[in-house]
Amino acid sequence: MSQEAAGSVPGVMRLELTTPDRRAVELEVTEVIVPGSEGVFTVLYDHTPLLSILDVGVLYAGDVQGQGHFFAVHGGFAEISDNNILVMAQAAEESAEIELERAESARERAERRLNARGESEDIDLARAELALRRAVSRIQAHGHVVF
Amino acid sequence: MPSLRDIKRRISSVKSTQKITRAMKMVSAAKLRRAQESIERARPYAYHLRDMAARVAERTPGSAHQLLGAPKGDRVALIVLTSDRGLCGGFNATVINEAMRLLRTDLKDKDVTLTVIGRKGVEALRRRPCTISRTYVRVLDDGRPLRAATDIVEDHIQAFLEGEFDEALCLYNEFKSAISQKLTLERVLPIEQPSQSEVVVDYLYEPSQEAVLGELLRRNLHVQMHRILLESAASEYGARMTAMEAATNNASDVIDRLTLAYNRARQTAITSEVIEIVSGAEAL
Repeated sequence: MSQEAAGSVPGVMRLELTTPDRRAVELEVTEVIVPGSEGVFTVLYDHTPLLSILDVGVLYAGDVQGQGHFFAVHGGFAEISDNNILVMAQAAEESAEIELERAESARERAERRLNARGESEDIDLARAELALRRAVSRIQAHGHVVF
Repeated sequence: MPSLRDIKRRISSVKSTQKITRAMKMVSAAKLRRAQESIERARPYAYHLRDMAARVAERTPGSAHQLLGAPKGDRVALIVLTSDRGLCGGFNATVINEAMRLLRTDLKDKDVTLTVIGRKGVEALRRRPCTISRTYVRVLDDGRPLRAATDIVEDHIQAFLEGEFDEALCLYNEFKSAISQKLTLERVLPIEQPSQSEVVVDYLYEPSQEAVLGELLRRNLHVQMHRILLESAASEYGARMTAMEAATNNASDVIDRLTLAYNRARQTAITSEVIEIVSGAEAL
């Protein structure tokens, strides 16, 4: 499972997903779908070197055993070079860790705040919108939906 | 010669102090374990992000970003990290003394203003000959260190861009182990521009190179400050645990000595009583 082994097998890439407050997830993958700031893109073997800002969304990783992994990621960066994919997310949760009820209630809360705009300030609006998108990404990741 | 009752009172007083120091040692040990875990999780991310920012910076032509480069003047903001609570041995004194030493020596010719993080530092440095421009207390109390770090960094980035100072340094205790902390001085702003490398491959950037670099540099600063806050917190618990351990042991020594003195005094009292009785009987 060393770094060279992953890089040397054709078709297999190494994915490393880290956030500031949890241990890194490392996977050997064949396909990754990344929520980039300019849109969702797919990374396959021998992808050109790329550095993208991440949006709030779902990151999908298909590992070598053909199993799919879904993560809700909230901003950060993705770097792709030499079939290594390094994702530095500000926050990330794997689908199995997401509590659907909490995500649903977060979405409702955010929606209520968005609907009750009018007298509130712009900053609150932006934050509510971000909260809504985060909640939606967690619900999607929980349900194994990419976008 | 203190009376028996005085000694007894002192023994029980030292015993209750020892109870407190022992409890504090246990609490610090538990908190230290948590703090150690979080610093160990934060470090790889912080180092990765720093390297990533450096890789982009070295692919970017010179003076590409206002946060990159070398200090342009001699106004320095020195960020000093101390704790909010006391009873942690020399933890705060070490940082404060080093800050004062820097002001007298290395930074003597510079125009230094201080940013003090932590209540203990604020209290101690207020009475020293130095200028404090910013203070932050109880930053880690709400359990959201990254947000606290972001706020601190954004304040400094703004002040830096407005030309309030030319360079920001950070003095903090780096966490080595439960019993050792290393005092570290680090440049925060501006970020050093790595030398231009022979570009082998350039990246595709999304949305653009400037946007990615700008975002990376900013985020990198947040994450470095996050790491520094956690380093200092873990060091604080380590220092407190060591200090409380020493205090508990000292209390044991004092109790032993007092118990000896108590027994001796009791013996003396008994002896003199016996002598009194015997000489009383002889007199009959």
